[in-house]
Amino acid sequence: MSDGFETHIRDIAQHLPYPAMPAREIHYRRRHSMQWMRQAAAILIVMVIAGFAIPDIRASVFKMLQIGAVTITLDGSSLSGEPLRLSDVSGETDLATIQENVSYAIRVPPDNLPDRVYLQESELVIFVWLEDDDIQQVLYQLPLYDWGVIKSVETVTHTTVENGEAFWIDIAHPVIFENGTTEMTYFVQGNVLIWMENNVTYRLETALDMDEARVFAESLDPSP
Amino acid sequence: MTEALILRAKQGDTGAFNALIDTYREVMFRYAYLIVRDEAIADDVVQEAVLRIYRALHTFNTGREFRPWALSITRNLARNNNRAWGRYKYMVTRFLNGREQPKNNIELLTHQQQQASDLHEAVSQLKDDFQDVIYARYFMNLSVEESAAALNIAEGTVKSRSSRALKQLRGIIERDYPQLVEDFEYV
Repeated sequence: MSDGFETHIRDIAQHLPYPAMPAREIHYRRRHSMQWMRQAAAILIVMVIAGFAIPDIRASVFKMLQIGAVTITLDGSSLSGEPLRLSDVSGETDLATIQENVSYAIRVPPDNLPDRVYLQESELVIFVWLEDDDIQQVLYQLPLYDWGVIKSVETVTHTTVENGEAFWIDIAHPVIFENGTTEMTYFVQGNVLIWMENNVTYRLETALDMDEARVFAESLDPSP
Repeated sequence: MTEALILRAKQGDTGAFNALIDTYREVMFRYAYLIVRDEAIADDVVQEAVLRIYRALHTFNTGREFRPWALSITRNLARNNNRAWGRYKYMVTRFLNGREQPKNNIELLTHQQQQASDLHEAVSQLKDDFQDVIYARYFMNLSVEESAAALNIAEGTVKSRSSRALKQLRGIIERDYPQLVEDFEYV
């Protein structure tokens, strides 16, 4: 590639007529996001009310829950599949690198650091705890608007993490991670605790029971 | 100067944070605009980026350059907006807010500005990774080092990716935008 072409491109690019940047007050609270969530909730309520008028829809309206980036369909899909394998997970790195490259504060259990940490596109962070090279526990941290996670189960237990809403699932089920360009699907064998804080969704796959999982979730601190 | 503002901002001085952001908002806006190609969306992206910077500033290592870090956050948000979730959220928000859709301002552009707009359009035909290096290196005039930091890739990757991106861009220009190379003498 000739340097002349490179220089030519650079010269042209300098004349791009950018629009004037609007002058506005900086809001430090996530007003837009909260406004969006309230509006989305309003839409959902309208849809639910309208759904009552249409018998075929009624059966499906109640069969979906949402917490953060996770959508749970309560239809007990008969899908089966393979569990997550370490070889399926890319982007292995270290905690410091993760924190430098994501725009939210990642959280770790102070006395039980993960054995492997991964950073994937769209700021998806994955912590893995191993026992004899087998996956024992996985914690996902993902920002609200980037990834969508879809799960299909028959029942969900409502619980709390630090007084915020959380969902507990204790049966095997399929899960799909999707961000518009990438999709990852696997079968979860064990228990899952899902909660959200500060617009970050947390999803813990674990062998712990619900109360132990909640203690673990509430022990998470910002990464040192 | 920037380092002093960052240190004060980390201690909760919102005046220092405002001054810090004022220094970089324009470049963040331009970078977002290059990616999302819409003035109003770029503005929203910058607002969100400022919020994320505010929340994550306590994790920022003052030994690093601030501009590439800010542009990295801006780029991620802009790219995410271009994906399905972001577009859907944007459309619903605008519909419910009753905000006017951005008008296509047909302004009289100079010849150079028209060429630059055509170039922007040509670059948008490249895949995201190639667009990123072109925008960083040739539109934003970031150094190789800054580009690597902003795009979270190695400096060598910036160079090799730039070379491949330019090669592909040249093919697009010769095919679809010959006016951009009419006056250019091939070497």
